Amino acid sequence: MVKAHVTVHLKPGISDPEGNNTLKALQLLGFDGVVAAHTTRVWTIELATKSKDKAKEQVDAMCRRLLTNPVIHDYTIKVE
Amino acid sequence: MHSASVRRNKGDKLTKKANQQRKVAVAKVAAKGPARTVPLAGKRPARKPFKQSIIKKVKAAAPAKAGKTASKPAGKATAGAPTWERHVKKQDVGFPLRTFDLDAMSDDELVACSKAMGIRLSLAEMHSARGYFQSKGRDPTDVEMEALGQAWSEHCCYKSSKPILKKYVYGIAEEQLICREDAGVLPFDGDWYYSPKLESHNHPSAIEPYGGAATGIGGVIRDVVCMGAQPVALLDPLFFGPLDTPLDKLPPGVKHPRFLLSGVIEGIRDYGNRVGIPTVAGGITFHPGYTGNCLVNVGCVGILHKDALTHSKAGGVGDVFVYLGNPTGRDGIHGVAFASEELSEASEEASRSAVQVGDAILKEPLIHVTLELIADKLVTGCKDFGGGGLSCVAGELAYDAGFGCEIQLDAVPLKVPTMAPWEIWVSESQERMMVTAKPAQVERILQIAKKWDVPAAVVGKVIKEKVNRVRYKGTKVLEFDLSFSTGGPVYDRPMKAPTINRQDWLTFEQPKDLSQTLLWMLAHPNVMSKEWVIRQYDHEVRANTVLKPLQGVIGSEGPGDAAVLKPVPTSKKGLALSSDVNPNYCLRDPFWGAASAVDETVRNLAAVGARLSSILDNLNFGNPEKPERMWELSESARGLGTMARALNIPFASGNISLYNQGPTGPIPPTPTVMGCGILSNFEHATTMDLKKAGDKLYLVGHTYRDLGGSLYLESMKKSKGERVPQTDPEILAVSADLVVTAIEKGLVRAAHDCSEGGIAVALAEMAFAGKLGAKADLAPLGAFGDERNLQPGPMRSDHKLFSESNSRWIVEVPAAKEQAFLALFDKPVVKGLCYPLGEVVREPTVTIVDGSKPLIQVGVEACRAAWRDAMPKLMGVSA
Repeated sequence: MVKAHVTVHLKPGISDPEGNNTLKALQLLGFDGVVAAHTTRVWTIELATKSKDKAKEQVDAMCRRLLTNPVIHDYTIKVE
Repeated sequence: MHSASVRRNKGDKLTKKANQQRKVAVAKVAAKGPARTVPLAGKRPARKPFKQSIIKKVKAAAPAKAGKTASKPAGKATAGAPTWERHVKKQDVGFPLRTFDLDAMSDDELVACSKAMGIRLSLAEMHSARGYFQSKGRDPTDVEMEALGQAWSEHCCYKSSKPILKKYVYGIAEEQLICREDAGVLPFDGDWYYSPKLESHNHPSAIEPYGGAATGIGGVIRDVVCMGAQPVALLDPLFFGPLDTPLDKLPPGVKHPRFLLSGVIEGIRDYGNRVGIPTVAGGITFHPGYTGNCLVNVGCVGILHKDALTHSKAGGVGDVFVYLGNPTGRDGIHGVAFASEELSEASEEASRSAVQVGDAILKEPLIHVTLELIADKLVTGCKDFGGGGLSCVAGELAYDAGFGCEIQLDAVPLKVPTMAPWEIWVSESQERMMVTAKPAQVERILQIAKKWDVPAAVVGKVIKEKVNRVRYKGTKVLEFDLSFSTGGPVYDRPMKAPTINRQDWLTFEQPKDLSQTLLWMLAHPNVMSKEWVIRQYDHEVRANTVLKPLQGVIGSEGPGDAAVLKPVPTSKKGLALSSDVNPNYCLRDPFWGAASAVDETVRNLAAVGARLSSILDNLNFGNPEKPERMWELSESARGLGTMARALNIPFASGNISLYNQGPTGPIPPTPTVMGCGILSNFEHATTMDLKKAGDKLYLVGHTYRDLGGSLYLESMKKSKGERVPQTDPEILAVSADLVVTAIEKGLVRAAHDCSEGGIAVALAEMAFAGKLGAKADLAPLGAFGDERNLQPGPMRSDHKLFSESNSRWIVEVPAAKEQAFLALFDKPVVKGLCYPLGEVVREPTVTIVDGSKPLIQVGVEACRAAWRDAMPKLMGVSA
């Protein structure tokens, strides 16, 4: 069994309304010195294979087909 | 395309990789190509002795060893290498800008260039572009090439469909329209108008269902808003492959219909619900032909006071363009070009960037800003950014008013600061609106935008010359005569008509247990309850919804014929909406299929008590370059036009979506029809559920042997033969009017139209929705024979039961009002049109006989269970 951790974040410059609103809220709550807040999404995907390479290849395809939009997202995959 | 576009942005992390790739590519080309001199350097010297330099360049470019003329395929020598790139020059202007030496390109290179850029212009179109720039004595920039690709796409200029539309659907009852621009505008009541629009978002939804469907909603809302109307309702006719398609039967690159359906529903739900507009009607149709290319049609209706009517054109010279809404991003680039070709296995990943990323949370305030600006009379014109983006919106606003425009691209708010000028110009990012205004009003416009937290910027001005001129950081990057860019090509494409046998009568045994056939029909995907979907949509927000999509006794509802709204507080009039089309008819007979769609729309509206006021058509077809598809389009348009003309009803608006053709082949011809009807008083709105035991049941309309494309034939596993339902618009018009009159006079307690599954399905639905039983005898039907199908003798019982003849309703009439009801039909055209069918009974059973012959006896609970449980089962969720 292989576990793959996929992290998807927005490319620099892409608007992140959730992050922006978090920033606004943090400032309103009086947290000084907060200058930016960004959101990331993390998936842990378990695969019934022994080959890490194969798993990574598969998860990469998943990222391209479902988990990300290449226009706005970057992603990283870690397998263990 | 992105890597090509973002090159040469020094120090830009995003594009480093692209740069590297690009450098390699450029190095290769440089090694092969001729020595490159870049004399333009930002300024455009008037290259008047241009012709000569062309010849020179052609000579230099042509492979000397071959010794052929330039029009020969120069690319062949270097087998497959992108030789067209030799003729592209980077301009040293401090930002990414290229010019294209079209004169030097061979035909093969022109085609390769168009393809590689993703602008999808044909060779002939590339030639006319070349001719234009030759006459101007200069080379086009990438901004210009991309802009042409958009302006001349099928999606934007209707190059294949225009001749057909002109011939069949333009110019019908136009005097009833107030205007028809981004959306239609028609009178509603007194000083109030309504503004409907129907369009498609098919290709994006097939690739990225959630974003595709959501932005489809966003787009259609903007069309209505820019007329000055407050959107009040949405409706969504959707078309998918069968939900139970085995995974291993799907061709590569095709997503499972269940995946697509879930994504599309979520997209519509999230966008529609968040933006606060109720989704009140629509439908989901399943057919294997949609597996490779699902269809997402979206409709919207708005309401406006006549003073708010705003035209999609600039007011006058000196007006400024104010950009409102979402900053422009890289999403939705090449959306229209991608919508103008077939989907392929590679589309899934290659075309992701063509799908926009929606943001409903920004759309809501954008609607407020636009409507406030209009109410305060601060704008002279308004148009939404649709397919084609800035490139189309600026040009059309100016051109339609008889002027030109000058745009400063660097003033456009951006999501990504490193975007190349051509990307800014053609991006189809969502939630953007363009208004024109007198310069004196700009300050207030910007204030109002700021109040709603919506980005806004002045991006250009209206000029007298009929020219579209675009500057970026001081450099002119585009200059078109507007008549050139907006005067796209028009094609009279060849057609090929198959022969349709409208008298191919089949012989088959009547099944032993017709009750089982009825239950099978109720559970059929095209009949089954769509409650699983409907309940995800907010159909009541704004609190104007009088009749909802599901009607009847709470907990036992049935499918309503049309939704009814009460959109104006001071008016008692109601607005009814419905959408229809049956691809099974259209596939066999596009003419009568399209006519049937109009017929069904009329009767759905009449069933709730509304008179048809306007129709909208969304023509979804396959690849128009294939003569068979072109014929389908033409026949369907003829069917729609014939009906509209006979009914004297205008097309409020329309949309065409071609190239709906995926790895599983072309879609069935799908001329979706949306109908807007008006109720003289919303209190008359009538639902379809049976209301009281003892009431009489009547069938309005003749029953013929119309089995082609019917559910009954499908239950027999017969995919061919018989004739699809035809219609007589004169009878339809008179009988629909009488049904509405009867409703207005309070003579009708329930009404439901007969469509798929004929009388049997309609009656079962009415019964379970009212938790009452029904007894019906079909003996009076078809007694006079069937003069239309040339078949002598009485009709067979099973044909009467399941025939899908058009222009029919089942109505429930209180016993005391029977005489008054029948008296209505005592006039020419409709004499003998009203058949006594039976009565409503307390015992919850549907019993149908033909004289002494029993046909159906089934409990209403069993009917409703079959109808209700089918979709959750198919979607793999518990009921």
